[in-house]
Amino acid sequence: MPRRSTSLLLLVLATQTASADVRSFTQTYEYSTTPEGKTDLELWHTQGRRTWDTDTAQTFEQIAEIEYGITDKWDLAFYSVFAQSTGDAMIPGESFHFAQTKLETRYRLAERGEWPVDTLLYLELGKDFGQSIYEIEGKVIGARDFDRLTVAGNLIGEIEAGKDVAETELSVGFAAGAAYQIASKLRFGAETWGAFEEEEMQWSVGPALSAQPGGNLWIALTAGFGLTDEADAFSARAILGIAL
Amino acid sequence: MKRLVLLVGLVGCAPRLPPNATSADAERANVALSELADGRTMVIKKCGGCHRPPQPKAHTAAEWPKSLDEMATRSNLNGEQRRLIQVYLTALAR
Repeated sequence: MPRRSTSLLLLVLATQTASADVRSFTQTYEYSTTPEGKTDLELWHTQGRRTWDTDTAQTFEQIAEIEYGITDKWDLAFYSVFAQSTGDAMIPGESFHFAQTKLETRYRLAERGEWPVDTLLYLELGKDFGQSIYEIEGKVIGARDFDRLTVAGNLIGEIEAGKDVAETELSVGFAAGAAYQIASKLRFGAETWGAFEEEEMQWSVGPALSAQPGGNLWIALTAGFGLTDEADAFSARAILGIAL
Repeated sequence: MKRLVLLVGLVGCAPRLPPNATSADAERANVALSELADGRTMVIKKCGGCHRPPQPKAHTAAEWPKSLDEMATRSNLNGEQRRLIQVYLTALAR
């Protein structure tokens, strides 16, 4: 019976005819903006664990994001970030709380396929709740479609400032992924992401799956495995997107 | 190794933009060539914002309207934009 259900789901995904704004990855941004005049809701759910030990610190983050297309090439988004962590012997845990507000904007520099590498600029401003911590994050997003294969890479720069920031310094990060469109509404691939901070590197890699079970609904999933000690040993992120 | 190079070459050379319509396409579909050109521009502009612009030969002329029904709402197409896209995709369909 489960095999029959899986076959049926694959058949449904394969026989629908149109592609749509389905994200292939959850960590890597692609060459996409919300269509002019349209609004999207995205719910991000992320969990991570520092190590494989049973008493390790575990983190949880829930983001609600509203995106709006100002033009066909330029969109604006508002995030509300909620977080929770269990803590461990070294770090105290945090109960579920409102953590941050963010404003994001993306701009596509050309029509898709016009340039050898489609390039998108991304800017994000964030403010931690209840603290004088302001975050500015910029990304240069490059992507290219090779028929059914999508390849994307992000170069990320982030800086935090404010009275509650001990030291203002630039941290540099990256994300990259490749996904193959198995059916018109089903993609499978892999992505890797990381950041350099205080001469330490967080680096993770894992498989990515995305599907669009309904016309206005899509979901993207990534499981991440830490390649360095500074990265979470395991993390998982799901993004549920709804076109309003 | 040769096969890998060939595969990479074939994938890399896959068309990224939908083809330009010719006067023969316009004549066969009984529409103005300028309409087909406008339709192609609209496909690149409106469809390419979210995903790879579709190649007209991905579907038959009979299949395209159904596919567009779904995407027209998603990409906020007005009536004229939708018409131009459909004229182009059906004229060059497989």
